[in-house]
Amino acid sequence: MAFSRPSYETRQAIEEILLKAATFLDEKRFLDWADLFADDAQYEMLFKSKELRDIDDYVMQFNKEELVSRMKLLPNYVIDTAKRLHAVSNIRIEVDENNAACTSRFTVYRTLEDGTTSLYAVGSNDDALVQRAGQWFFLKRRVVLDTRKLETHTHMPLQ
Amino acid sequence: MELPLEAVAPEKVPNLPPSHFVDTRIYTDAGIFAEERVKIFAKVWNFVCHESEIASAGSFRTATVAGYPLVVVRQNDGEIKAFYNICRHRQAQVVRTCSGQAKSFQCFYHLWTYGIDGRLVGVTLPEGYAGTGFDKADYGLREVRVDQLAGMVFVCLSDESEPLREFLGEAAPVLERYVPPDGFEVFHFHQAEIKTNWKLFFENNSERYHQALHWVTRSTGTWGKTSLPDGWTFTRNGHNYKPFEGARYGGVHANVGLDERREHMLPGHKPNSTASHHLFPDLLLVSQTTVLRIDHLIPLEPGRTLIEWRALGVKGEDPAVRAKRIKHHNQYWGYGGVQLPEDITATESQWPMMATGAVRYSVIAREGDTFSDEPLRHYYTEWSRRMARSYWDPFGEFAAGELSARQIRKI
Repeated sequence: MAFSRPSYETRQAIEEILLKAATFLDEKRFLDWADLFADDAQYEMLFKSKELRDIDDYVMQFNKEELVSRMKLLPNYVIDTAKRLHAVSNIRIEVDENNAACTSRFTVYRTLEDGTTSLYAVGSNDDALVQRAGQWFFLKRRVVLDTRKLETHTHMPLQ
Repeated sequence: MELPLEAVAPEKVPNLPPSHFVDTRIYTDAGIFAEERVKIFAKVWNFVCHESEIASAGSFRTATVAGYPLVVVRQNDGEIKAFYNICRHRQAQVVRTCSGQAKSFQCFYHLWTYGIDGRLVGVTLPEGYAGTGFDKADYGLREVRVDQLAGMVFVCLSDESEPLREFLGEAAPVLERYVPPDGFEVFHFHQAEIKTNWKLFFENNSERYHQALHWVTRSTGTWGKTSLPDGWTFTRNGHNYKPFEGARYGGVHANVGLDERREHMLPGHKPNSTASHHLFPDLLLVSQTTVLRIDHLIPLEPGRTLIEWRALGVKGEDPAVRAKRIKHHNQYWGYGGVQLPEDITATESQWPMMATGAVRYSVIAREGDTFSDEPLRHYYTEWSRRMARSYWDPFGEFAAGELSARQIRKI
């Protein structure tokens, strides 16, 4: 495929998916978040482990079915009570007709019950998107965490 | 040691055998925390890494034991050595990355250079030492004792302590039986700084009835007594293990999006089984048929602990099999698994409440079945022996005869 810069409208549409993903996680609208993924999508979150010589150290790997299952079950789990805010920046998009490659950076902030905020994690998203029936979906979302020493863990995806 | 200041009088002492409750100041008192470093961590054998993390000559890992920075390095003859990661010249940190491959170690400050065997092989401007009595042979990196068992690398900062195998005692051969013929290999490492006392996370893994916390074990029935047979084994020096070989949790897990585990089983495991080994003071090994997880606790402050999690598969295995193991690890016990976040949340909720001092005594009184608190009592008996303080009365406040006959029954 020959990727090139997207049109203004296409860029707007793809950015909208990225921003929706972040907002849905902020608002704990987990099933809405899962709907942003195509039926044949793959989701993965990983560290580049310095301790293990830069291997891809996966911490979450889901296909669409597994992703939806996890999102449905999330309310059952004992979840960190802190509010999380997911921000996306440095968005770069290239498009080849109905496929798009997109990279972005993210930050996740954590605000405790008492109002204290801390920076929880930073990293980058490496996304492949596909347009089907006029709508863009994530075909593959690869979330690479720069942060390797974490605070309280979470059942939730970070991006 | 002076008694901690208190604003609120403690509640009534539990009407239990003293062995069946804990004075929570053992988790919160700064003096006790400092003493643990000296009396426990500087004396015992401490896990530092798995041998697969330093597989080739010159490969190294840094570690911290009892607050001391170490570097552990594979030698040209295959042996492993460990040193304080401190330059003998002016005490700068010698190795500044957590892992890597080296032919030598050079301090970045004044460029003193050490062989991977720790010998000082080069100093800057050596002519300046002429006539001072300076001899390079006297200034190698300070070496510490190192030994291995079942692929796990341990160090001991004390020259007086017993050998590793003796320290692990009856737990040693039990650990060895799980090692696959081709050996283990670490495929996952991550760490977290959690806001709790290090012993509370050890406890979390040592008692079984906190499984009620986990929705996944409640919903699949794997929390029930019928699915987990009894059989804790308690060994000297505070170690214990519970080989749940044959514990059944299969079938039902598919309902909650978890895989069956019937293939690529680790030695000694049956389908959908787990095993658990707890090594005093800070090492937890848990396995679920296909994956071994090693939790290593590193105390930072009374209410702050660094935990390292490793997951291990079989060395040199087929990538497709490895991918399966990675998935299994992440489903249950990984960073975003169905259990680990809940264990952290629970143990983090305890410490700040304990630190208030409003409720002094913690109850560890269950007896007699899989959900017994005996693993905790066994662990704290060893803690008390090493600290020369009882865990129920760490400051020696009970006067003679103060405890009732019922209370002293179990001492």
